[in-house]
Amino acid sequence: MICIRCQHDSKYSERTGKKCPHCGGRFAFEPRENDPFTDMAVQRAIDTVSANGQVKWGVEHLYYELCRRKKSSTKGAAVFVVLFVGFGAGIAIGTAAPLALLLHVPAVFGLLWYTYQNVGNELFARGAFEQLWDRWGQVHGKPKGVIARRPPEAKPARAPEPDLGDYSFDRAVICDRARTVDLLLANNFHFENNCAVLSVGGYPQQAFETVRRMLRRNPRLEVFVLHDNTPEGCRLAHLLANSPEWFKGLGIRIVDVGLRPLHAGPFERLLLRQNREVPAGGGLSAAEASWLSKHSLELAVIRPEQVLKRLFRAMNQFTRAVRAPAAPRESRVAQGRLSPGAAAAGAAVAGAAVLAPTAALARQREAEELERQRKKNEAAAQGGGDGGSGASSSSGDFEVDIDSFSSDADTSDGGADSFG
Amino acid sequence: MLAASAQGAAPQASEALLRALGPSGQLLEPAQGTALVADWDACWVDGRRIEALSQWSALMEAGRLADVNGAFALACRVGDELRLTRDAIGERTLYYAQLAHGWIFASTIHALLASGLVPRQLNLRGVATYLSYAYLPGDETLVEGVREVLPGEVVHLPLTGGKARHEQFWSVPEEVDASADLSPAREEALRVRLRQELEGAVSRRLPAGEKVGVFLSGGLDSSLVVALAKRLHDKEVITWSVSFGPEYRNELPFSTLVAEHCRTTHRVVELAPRVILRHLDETIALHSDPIGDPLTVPNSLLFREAGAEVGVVLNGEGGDPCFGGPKNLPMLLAELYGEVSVVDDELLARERSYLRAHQKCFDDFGQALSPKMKAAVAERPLEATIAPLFADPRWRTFVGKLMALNLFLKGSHHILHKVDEVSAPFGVLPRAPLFDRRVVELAFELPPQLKLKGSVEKYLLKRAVEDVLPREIIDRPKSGMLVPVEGWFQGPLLPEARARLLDGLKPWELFDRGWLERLLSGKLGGLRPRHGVKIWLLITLEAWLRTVLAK
Repeated sequence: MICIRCQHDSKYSERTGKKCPHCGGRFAFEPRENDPFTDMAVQRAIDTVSANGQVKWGVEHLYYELCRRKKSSTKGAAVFVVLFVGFGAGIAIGTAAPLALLLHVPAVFGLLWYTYQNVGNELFARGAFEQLWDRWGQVHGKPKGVIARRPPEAKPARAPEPDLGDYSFDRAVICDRARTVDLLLANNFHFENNCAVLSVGGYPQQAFETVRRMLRRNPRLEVFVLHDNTPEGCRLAHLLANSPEWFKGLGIRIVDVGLRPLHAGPFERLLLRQNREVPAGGGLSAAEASWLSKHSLELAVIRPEQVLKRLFRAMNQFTRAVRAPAAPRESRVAQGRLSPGAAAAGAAVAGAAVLAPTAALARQREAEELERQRKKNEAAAQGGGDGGSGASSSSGDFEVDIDSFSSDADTSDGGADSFG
Repeated sequence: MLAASAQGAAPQASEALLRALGPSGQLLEPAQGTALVADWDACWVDGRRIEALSQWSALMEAGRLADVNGAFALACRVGDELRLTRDAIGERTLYYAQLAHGWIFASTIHALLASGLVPRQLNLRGVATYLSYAYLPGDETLVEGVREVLPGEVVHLPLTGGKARHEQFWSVPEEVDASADLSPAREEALRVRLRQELEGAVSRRLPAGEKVGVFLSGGLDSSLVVALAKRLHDKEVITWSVSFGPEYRNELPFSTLVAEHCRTTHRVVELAPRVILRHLDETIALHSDPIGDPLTVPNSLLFREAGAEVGVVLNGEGGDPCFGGPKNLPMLLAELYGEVSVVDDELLARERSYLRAHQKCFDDFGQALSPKMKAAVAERPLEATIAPLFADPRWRTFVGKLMALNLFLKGSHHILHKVDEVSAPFGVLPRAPLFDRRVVELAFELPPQLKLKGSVEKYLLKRAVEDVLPREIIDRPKSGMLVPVEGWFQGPLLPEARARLLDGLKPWELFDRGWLERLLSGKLGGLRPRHGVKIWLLITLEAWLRTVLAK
């Protein structure tokens, strides 16, 4: 087992009192004594959820990361056993009665499929995780980057500025739970993307009423709804569109960018089983209501970096669609590269071309067309997938971002340019 | 361009100073009868243009510098004192340093260094400041011991020994009333006044009887200057826009729209990455302190282009700091939410947000800086320097505070500096009507709620010019002038960047090499790593260290 402090690899027999024989540092876990993970496995999970220290994260993200990791080892072992036994039995049967292989081979494949689908899928128990988390903290301290919410009674550092509530914002993210708000704020998403963030339940308390009032003042507001795949979460966009306390009658655009049943595919093993009555309507289709009566899925199954990047991308795509600049009229575009007046000055900067505006624009349009075709070809070559096309479907009073979520981190950054 | 060296200094030092300033250099030599030197452009007092040096002597004696509207830097000897002063907004500047036997000052740091009297020693904490802002705000410079005169300030330097004394003859006006009257009638009255002031500011800067140039980005500010110049000028108005080649995003549709609407003679200058690279060192070598804004080279090349046709070029600089441009809303959000998680020093949270809002390297310090840089920053954290400005009781509203900070820090140390320095070699006078003193003073009289109305930035400025511009320009969201640094440094300019950052910066021991490697390979991580912007910042620093400090 490898020590996370000194990287020394030791055998069980070399370790006494759960200490590294090389550096003397304590281990939090000992798999030989029935702990589900090694220290190194937990450290790697922390590195993954924090995107190697670049992103702030919540304990719930680590929980699901460990669920993913626990699953894979058990499942791998089970699949291996089935393969091994099936192969051995296959040889025996093949020598004794070759025709019986016609039954045996499909049976082994069937068993393999069943094992893959069902073994190792049980979620890591929350209680066990809590114990693990406590022990990690006692031995290694609280990891860097984990979000620790400030106590609500903390007093503001100074008196609020008199004009703070007099303005408004063009974008807001409304979440179904406070911890999602924490994730966005701790990662400065509001600051970087110029958007307000609130939970439907009134968090963060000190800013909630002021910010909601500021938002309601802006008829051009765009609202992005981020939520768990639960009946309450999936109804949130509808609720915001129809609640007089929120945006009813204000004609505000609402886009649901949260988890809905249609996104659940890649997370089948992290679903929470439910057994409840969920009526359709209020923003839920009959199919969604039926799915939600048996399952739910927390947003925390998605790694923080991907949540933030996906939200960033969705925001830019939906916003950009509204604000595309108008191109000048074609009829005014003349031909020719250099304008007569500019030709005289054309030599001032070594290597620079002075173009007539019309020629520059024509070149620009050609390049844009080429870029469009290149993207189209690329998309065709990849056969769709999680390409982030900004696809949406409308559900009456709100729109839904139907692009799939994936369980792996998405790395696109939209190629943001400098704003000198 | 002005300069003087210490009493008793070798005559070679004065010659070197003068040589470094070029053909327009003036030396303060009281013994030779030159007790006052002045560098000024488009200055007005009592409704008349200042034409002669003697007028400056009279204004100084009468203590009337505060009444002057325009760009100036003055130096004079009065008794046992050397006085240096700079215009209210900061269009011209002066640097000075204390020597063993007196003082030395000049319009550029190049001249101070050329004299041989000022040691070529790097101010390490200044490097951290530069990495956070992309320029050097306040009186700090990147050369140890050299200070900059602040806008609207007279610095008294005693020739008999002792410290400098600072006297402010103008500062950003106090905010009038936080709960201002926002009635439609008042809004309309302010709109009319603003339009009058804008027209006056443009008029005062037009060259009588000559063609005038305007740099047109297609944003609101430069577009409104084009529109007003065209209406107020009786000679040809030539506009220039930049494109970085068809493969990169640009604002040509907007600038062309404005040029057509206003019927100017319009030119588009296309600057390919190799052109930028060819002119990089010579442009950065013009800066007294480095300015890590990717627009410096394109700006300089535009001035070079324009210099062949006109003597005066107007620009739209100043609209953002004075009228509620971008970065206010993110700062408001940061202020509303505060820190969500537990932090060590909550009191300086908004100062940190302000530094972060510059979107440069402030958040990278932990990983980017070398141990000696970290030690220099630890002595006095950057947040502490701006805390007094946030606490200044003269600006009562939050948006008012931000405007004052932006004007005081960015206006006079970045924006105006940049255009002054990169235009000088080409014999072109840059003029910024939106930084006109009367416009600035009115801007601070406006209630902040009329600058940032709801989420609409520069609301009253838009209203003041909506009749002279196409609707698309009034309604378009702020984009900033786009420079494709991300594309450049992922492609054509990457090899050059590697050489400059890894080899060029090495002897200075400022950065962690691993961080530089990650930066160059686009692997800083995080949500908005902004690799291109940071590479540009460092390329500028490297070129400045090589061409200015170490030369």
